[in-house]
Amino acid sequence: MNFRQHHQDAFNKMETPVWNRVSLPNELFPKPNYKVEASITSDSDYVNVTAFCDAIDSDDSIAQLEFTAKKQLGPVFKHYINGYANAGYVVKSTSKAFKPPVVDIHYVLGGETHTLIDNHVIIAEAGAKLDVIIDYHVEKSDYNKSENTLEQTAHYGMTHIFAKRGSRVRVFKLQRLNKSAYHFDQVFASVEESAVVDVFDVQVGSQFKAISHEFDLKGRHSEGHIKSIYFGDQDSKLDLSFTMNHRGKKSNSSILSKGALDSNALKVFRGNLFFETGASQSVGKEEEFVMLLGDNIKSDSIPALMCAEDDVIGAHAASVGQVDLNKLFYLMSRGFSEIEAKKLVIKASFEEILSDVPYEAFRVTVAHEVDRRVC
Amino acid sequence: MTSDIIKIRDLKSSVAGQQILKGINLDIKAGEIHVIMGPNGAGKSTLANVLMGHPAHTVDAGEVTFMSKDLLAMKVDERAKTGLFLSFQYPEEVPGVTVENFLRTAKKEVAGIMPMALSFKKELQSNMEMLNMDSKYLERYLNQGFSGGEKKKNEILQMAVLKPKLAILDETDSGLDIDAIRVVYESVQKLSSADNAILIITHYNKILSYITPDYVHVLVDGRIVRSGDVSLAEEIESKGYEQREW
Amino acid sequence: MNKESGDDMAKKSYIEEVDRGVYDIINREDHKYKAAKGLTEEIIREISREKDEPAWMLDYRLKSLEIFNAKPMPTWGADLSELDMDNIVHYVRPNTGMSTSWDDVPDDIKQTFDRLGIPEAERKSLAGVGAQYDSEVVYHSMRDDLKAKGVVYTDMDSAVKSYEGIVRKYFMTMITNRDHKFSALHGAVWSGGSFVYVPEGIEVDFPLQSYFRLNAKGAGQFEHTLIVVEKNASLHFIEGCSAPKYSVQNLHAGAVELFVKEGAKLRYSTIENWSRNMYNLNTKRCMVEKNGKIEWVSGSFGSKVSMLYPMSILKGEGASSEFTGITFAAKGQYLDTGTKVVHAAPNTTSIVNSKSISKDGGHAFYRGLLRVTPNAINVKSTVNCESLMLDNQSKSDTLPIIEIGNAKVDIGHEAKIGRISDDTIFYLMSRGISEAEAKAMIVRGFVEPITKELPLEYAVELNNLINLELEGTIG
Repeated sequence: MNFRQHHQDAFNKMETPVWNRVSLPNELFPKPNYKVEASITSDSDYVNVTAFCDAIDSDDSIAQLEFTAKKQLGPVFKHYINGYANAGYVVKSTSKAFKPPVVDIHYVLGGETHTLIDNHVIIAEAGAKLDVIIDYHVEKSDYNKSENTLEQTAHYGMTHIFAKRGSRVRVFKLQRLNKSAYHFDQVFASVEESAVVDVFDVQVGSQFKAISHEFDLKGRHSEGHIKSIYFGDQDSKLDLSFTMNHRGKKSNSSILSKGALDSNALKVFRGNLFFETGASQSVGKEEEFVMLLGDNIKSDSIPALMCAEDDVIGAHAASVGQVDLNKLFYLMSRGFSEIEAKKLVIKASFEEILSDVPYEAFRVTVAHEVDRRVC
Repeated sequence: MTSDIIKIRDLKSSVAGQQILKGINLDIKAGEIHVIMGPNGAGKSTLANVLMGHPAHTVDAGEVTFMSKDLLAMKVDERAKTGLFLSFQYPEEVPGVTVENFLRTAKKEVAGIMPMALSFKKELQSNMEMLNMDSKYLERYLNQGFSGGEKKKNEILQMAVLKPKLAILDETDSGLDIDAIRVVYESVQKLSSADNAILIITHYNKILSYITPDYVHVLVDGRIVRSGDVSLAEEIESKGYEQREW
Repeated sequence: MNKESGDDMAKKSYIEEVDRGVYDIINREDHKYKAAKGLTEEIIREISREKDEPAWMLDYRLKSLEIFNAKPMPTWGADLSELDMDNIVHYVRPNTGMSTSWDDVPDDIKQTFDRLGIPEAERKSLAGVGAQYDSEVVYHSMRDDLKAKGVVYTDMDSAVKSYEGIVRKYFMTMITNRDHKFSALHGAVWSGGSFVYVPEGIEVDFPLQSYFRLNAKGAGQFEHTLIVVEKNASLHFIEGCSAPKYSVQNLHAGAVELFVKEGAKLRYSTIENWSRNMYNLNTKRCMVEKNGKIEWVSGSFGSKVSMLYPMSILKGEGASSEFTGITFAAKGQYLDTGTKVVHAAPNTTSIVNSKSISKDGGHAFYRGLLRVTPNAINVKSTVNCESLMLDNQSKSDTLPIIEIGNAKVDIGHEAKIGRISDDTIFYLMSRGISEAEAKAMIVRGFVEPITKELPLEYAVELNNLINLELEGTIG
């Protein structure tokens, strides 16, 4: 049976799951009868890009996609995305140039296309480098339209990263869909010996967003880093789950999340560090900072350190607190309006992560989106 | 009549397969003060750690006789009991263990008997006075939350209590302000006597204003490339290590 | 760091089982009454009849039994599949009545407590002592001056009769029989425990102490502790628990309900050293009114399985809670411990300091909850969890859940897992301290924040325990 059919069958046998902390919206899992094309650019001859739908039949690496994750959005999402994907690419790099090649992927929702189901596979061959930017947004003409005149937009996505020995992969994800959109996204990274994978995850749009990223640090000296930024505005719900699974010796990981919650936004953060027996001399750190702006927010943090190896360093820190009123007051005394001051404070808190993004356009877009959305 | 404290012969060591000490020879006799200088990465701190027996370092060759015993055959605590002391460049923080409790335990181990509580406390207090340390430090957890200067003073306090035969001071001046450096080295000078010896590791020439060494050695790339008296240190001060005429 | 040359320092060997000394001495069973195995309505009625209880209590027991039978076993946390509920004798009463003079306590029971140092503890400046042997309290005494001030310290069974009004007002109102399977079980079969009432404004200047001892084979201990500290009063209560070792599993499902009124202060210290076949599924909760304060000091060392999360409900404005806990999981032990704090009023504060050590295949799990309700503004809380692993056969997990319902909060959390650093051992050894002593020193230093909160005899006991546990772990 072919790949899609297998997953469609599995999906159709399953029921919509029930989530505890953040209840799922209704009317999930539409089955679009169209494909979504991204605008995609690549700046290197050593990068090969194939549409996922074409690759399913021709590329053996797709067959490895059965990933046993400890934490994920759930099998329903996996089967749905694999079975009904209408977008996505397989990106393979063999480039060993000093400057990593960049693949820039933009998905624009709007008009007839309001459901995007993408399946990405990112492969860096041994010693290769690769940067991939994936940007989800709506058409500019929709920016100022009232939300209830728009069709329900939704994105369901899955990205597998295979970082072979000694490779270096960075993925920059930016989600800036319209205010009522749904966004489900998961990343699975398999990191081999001495390979390094960084995922930047920026969430500024959508009403409902559920993110689950998991790294399998299976190689010696493998490294994984997740840097997450989010802004939760009115009625928004966010469920973030980041997992580092240390299996290789001397593996190294970090999870850093910085967010701001406004109005009545709801957020759940789950950070998981697993150290399996044998992952000696590994170091894992997770840090979460939440800035609270709205009066009716709800912020849950569930950090877990699960350790079956003594020769490791595992650490977690969280700090959740109200926006510094003195700082706001200071800025306002210098002529900033309250909103402008808020914007400034939020952007400043994101800066620690954004300053590590080497792409100016990406940084500027995030800043614009914050300016546009904070009110 | 001088007696040997330590004799180092052709000492070679490595860390994770990389050779650092490439054949050190050094004799130190009772009553002497030696200074080892050298550029960063030359192996100065390695020499100190190898002598104390740090587990990360592997001795590949050489012999070290300390107080007529085979130093390299001894465990770390045995070296201390035999009279070797290392003032750490970065002293470890040990939460939950008070300075006083730690000093008493160490003194008991090194002296072989539990020190008398009252006289021990008196001795501690006079040493702390010398080092310009507040006696409230005795109640604090070992090195936890200490500033750089406090940590170094605490090291010298331990030296004063344990009365070693050979004290190695590894970059004890680094991270200290001028006042603290003066207090520390004046204390070290006071602690030096006819039957012990001191080995100072530093890259800071100014210490010569506070303490007078008998010998100065220059360590470059894992070897002692020159030895002399105080004038050698002055020469380095004017020319720097980069004048590689040695 | 080069491990090969560090062999001397990294070497580890293991000891099979710590000699728990006096804790493991088993007394001949000599009971007045021993209920048949398993749990039926008939047993519940017998228990109540034996105790000559008021009808409302029997009703509560029977209702609880119904709930117990209906509720499934919890599936999270510890593996309870080996716990055979039918095989545990729920109610065992020693062959003696309660006495207030130590001389009247039967010799074998007296010997046990003598070995544990109980009357000795009393001599050493305690305000009162209670001792429970199996299900019943066998000994109770309290200083006369406190009695005169209206302080009540007696066993729960007597309190149900002598202080029925107070008991009825508070009993199982905070921990109800609907909360979980083991609170239902407790409601059905509870027996013994301490009752303390401190009237308004009275400061009890010395600790009250109770000691629980489970002697009968395969028995359950379901003591109920109820403490009410009235307005502006204060109390320090110490609870110690132990049981000898049998090959049959024992179950402990006690309940502790603490009520701290406006401006009152309560410190509740527990040292739990149950034998290593014990399932310790205990529930403890404290309600704190305006400006009141609860301090938990909790040490968990024994048992095969523990699931224990003392909970503070900060109900009144300005209430505060402080939790200091240490868990030491050795071979064959799964200790799932932690604390829950609910900030339900403005300006409430909490501090959590938890430490755990796991060795020899032991599994220490910190599970915590910090909840701030939407109305509870200006809340401050810090949570610290530190775990020390002594080898890689052991496991250590940390799961502190934080739920925040409003923006005017200041919450900080930190957790760390690791082992003793080779550099720290090297540093201590360079001062002449042997490797074994260096390790013991570091571990003692690690638990020092807990030991310094304990009364001296418990601190000494804890240090002895650590020395025992560490003996032989060094090669």
